[in-house]
Amino acid sequence: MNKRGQTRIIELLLATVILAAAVVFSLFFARPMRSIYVRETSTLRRLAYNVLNNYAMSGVFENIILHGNLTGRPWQNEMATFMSMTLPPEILYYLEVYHAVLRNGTVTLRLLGTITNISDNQFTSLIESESITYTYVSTGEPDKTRGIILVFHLVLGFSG
Amino acid sequence: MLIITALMIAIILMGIIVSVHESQMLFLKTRSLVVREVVGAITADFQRALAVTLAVATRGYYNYSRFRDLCAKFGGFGYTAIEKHNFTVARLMALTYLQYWRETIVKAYANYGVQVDFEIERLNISELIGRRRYVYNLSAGYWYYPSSASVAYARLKLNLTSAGFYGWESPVFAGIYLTVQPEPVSVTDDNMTIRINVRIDSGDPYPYLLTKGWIEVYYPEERNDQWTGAWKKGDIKDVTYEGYGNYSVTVSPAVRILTDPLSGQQYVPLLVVVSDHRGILVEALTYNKIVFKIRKNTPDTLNYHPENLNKCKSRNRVDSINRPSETPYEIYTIDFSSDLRLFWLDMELSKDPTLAIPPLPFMPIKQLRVNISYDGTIDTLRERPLQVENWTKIFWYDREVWVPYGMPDPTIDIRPYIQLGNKYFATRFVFQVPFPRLDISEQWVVFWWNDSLDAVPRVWPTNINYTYDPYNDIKDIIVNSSPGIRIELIDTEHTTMRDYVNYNGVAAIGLRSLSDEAFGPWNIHSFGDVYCGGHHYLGRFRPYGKWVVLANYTGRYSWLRAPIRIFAVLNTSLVASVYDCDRYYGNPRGGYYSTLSILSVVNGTSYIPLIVHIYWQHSRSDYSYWLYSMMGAGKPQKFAYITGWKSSYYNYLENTVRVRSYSSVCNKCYERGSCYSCYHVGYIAPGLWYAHWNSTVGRGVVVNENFVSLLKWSKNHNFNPAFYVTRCGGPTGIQNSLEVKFADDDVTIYPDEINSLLDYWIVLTMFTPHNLNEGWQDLYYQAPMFWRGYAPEIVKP
Repeated sequence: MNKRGQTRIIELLLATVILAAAVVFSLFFARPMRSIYVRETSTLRRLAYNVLNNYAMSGVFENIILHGNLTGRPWQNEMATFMSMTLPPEILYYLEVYHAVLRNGTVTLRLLGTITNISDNQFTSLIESESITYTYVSTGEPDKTRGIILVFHLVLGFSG
Repeated sequence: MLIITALMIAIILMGIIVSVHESQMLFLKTRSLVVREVVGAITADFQRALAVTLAVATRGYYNYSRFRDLCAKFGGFGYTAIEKHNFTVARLMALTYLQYWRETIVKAYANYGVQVDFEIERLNISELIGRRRYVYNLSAGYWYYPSSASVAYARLKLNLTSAGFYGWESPVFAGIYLTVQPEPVSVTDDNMTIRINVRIDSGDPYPYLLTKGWIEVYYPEERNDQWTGAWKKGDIKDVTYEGYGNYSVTVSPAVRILTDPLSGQQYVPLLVVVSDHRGILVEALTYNKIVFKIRKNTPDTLNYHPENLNKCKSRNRVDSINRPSETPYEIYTIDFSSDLRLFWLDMELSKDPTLAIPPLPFMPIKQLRVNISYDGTIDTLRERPLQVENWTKIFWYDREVWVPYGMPDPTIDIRPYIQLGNKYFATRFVFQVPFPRLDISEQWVVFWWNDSLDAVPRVWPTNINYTYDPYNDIKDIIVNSSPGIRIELIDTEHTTMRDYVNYNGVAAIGLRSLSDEAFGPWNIHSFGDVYCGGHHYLGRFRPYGKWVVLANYTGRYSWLRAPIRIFAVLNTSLVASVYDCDRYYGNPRGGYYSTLSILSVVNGTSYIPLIVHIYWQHSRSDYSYWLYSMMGAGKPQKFAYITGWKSSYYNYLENTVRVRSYSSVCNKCYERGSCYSCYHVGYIAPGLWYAHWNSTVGRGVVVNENFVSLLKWSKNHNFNPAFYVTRCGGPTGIQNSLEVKFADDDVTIYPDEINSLLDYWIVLTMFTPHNLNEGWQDLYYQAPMFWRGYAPEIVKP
């Protein structure tokens, strides 16, 4: 009786070990949950930052958005064209541009405009999207626009 | 058994831990991208924010008007045109702007729980600009040298609390460094090529000067083969990037190459301005000082004819006195004009034609400094007081006249000259050159500039002070030295000389002791006489007007006093009488002469020059015409003067020194006047100096050659010019006066004949007689420095 009890305990332990090992090994070797989603969204995020960084370095914000605001030129159309040219064709984007206005010691974000290539019906089928925030202190010509702080909310994604 | 059980449990636990760790890693992998990008974006934006504040500060400092579009926008942050050369205000603007930026960041990245701050640290940029310089307080500019920089620096501190990311710190630089090689790489007839190096931020080469930034090269403007002090924009023919931030710039025209006498460095005088794509600007010059020498020309020996008092004539022999080896009074107050000319009294000094003085940098006045040697060697070159004045050359009736019109705001830019119609404006930088010993004939003068945009004007101690207190009847310039003197300015604003008489608007100069004892007035011009109230009064028509005093800088530095000299300027076309029985007492009239007089009370010297311009408006006839009369209380015991020309009639030669005691005037030779109890006696051929003294103190008047020419003209027209002394009772007791008359009899003035001669200067000079009998020699020692013929000159070191 005594021996049989011991055997049961050993069997139980072995079973536990086997189960635990199986779970752990499966965790080790199995891909994380929704790994494709993680990889895609991190790529989108990186793409979003890269795009805005490149725009910043090449003076796009001054030349198109700020200059457009100064002159009344249709900067949103120009910006949309520019983004469509610089982003991969399958990428959907939605960009909100704000001007950080200091008034009475308080900063408020005033929406300058939105630019997007997403039609209304595509919003519902937008999958694997990523949004980023980006701020930009205008430093380029013309002098009138230097020092203006812009805030961007950019959403990039794939259509489902 | 137990061991096996424990092992199994351990294995299970380890497995669970590993799997939890894996989950955490996955979480961090996904979050790290967010952190990296957000931190990178905020850091880059902070650098841009720093760059913008530096762009505003440097553009405003360089030329606010030109960059008004940018600078005016920052008025809301406290940066205004008035404060354009105040880097402290620019710094406060930057801090306010960065606060605005911080709030924007916190608001924009609210979902990341951003906490952002920055710390101001010291940054050593010595290696980058080749001299010991630091950025102490967020931003700094070191300009106007061959190696210049504009830099902002702070340490950014960042937490992203929502991402569990804390303690990020990053040094952030924004700046531009410009080095200009002083000597050109090549020079042709039409252009020259210079090499510059441009770096940004932490010293990275800047290859985008042509594509994103810009460069301007300025060269000295030339007129009649002379540099005017102004800068002209050069025509850039070619710019080549040679790598590592080096550029070769070909610019037209070619400019002559100079040599710095102190360093031996050859340079072509150029001013280079560079801006990067962010608008940060820097100004560099190929030289950092202007060097020349002042050479005195006063003689070591002074000649004169003694007088034979027994025969009332000159002795034929020429006596000489050697000036003492110590000459502490020989201090020249020189004006270096922004249009590169130099002045002493009312004359432009001659300059060695081989000496080329390059322009002062385009910079605020407050940056400028001067070093002057004391013993003629560079070992004693020390920084000395510098005063800045605004002058204008105007057409005053029939002649061009230089007049000081104020002291500038030291924060404004140096403007070489401004021509507005008939008026010409220039800024003068006034310094004093001492020649304390006879054997020192040349002194070094080095104008240099403080390269820091934070430079403030130097505050120099001074013994001269202007006090205007109408309630206590004071309008005095006080010279608080030994011997001190108070100059009481009598005019329409301050009509009564204290303890004396009411001049009722006539302008004169009251001379007083420091304890306010009145010596008597110095009347600067008077014409005619009047019989009224039963008496006969002399010097009826005198200038009527107000002394305008220039004693303080303007603008932000209005508290800053003139350290070297205080001006009192009288400009009037009216005359009036000082006699209360006369209908012109307090009742000025025109139609006689206009007066423009410039009195300068000079610190650290024993002289007070008065530059006089007179313009006769109409022909007038009257009795007597005085060029000045100076009362001396009753203290002087002796007086003397030197003759200005040979008088055959009276047997006096030119340069005869005639010495008298006030107590025995009537016993000795005199040619004019009367000698009663209150005597008024005159002497012929008044010359270049007049003195009276006692055993301890002396006062004299030295005049220039124009003054003597005027008197000679009078003599040639038989108007009997004369030097007079009087000893009469006055409001303050016995008055001993020195006077020079243009005419001692009836005289008719024809403006066309005389106006061109009425420009001269009179220098009131204090001296300490070495003995009572020969006290005049102590004035004579000083006198030549005030004469045109012995004026100092500017020479090449």
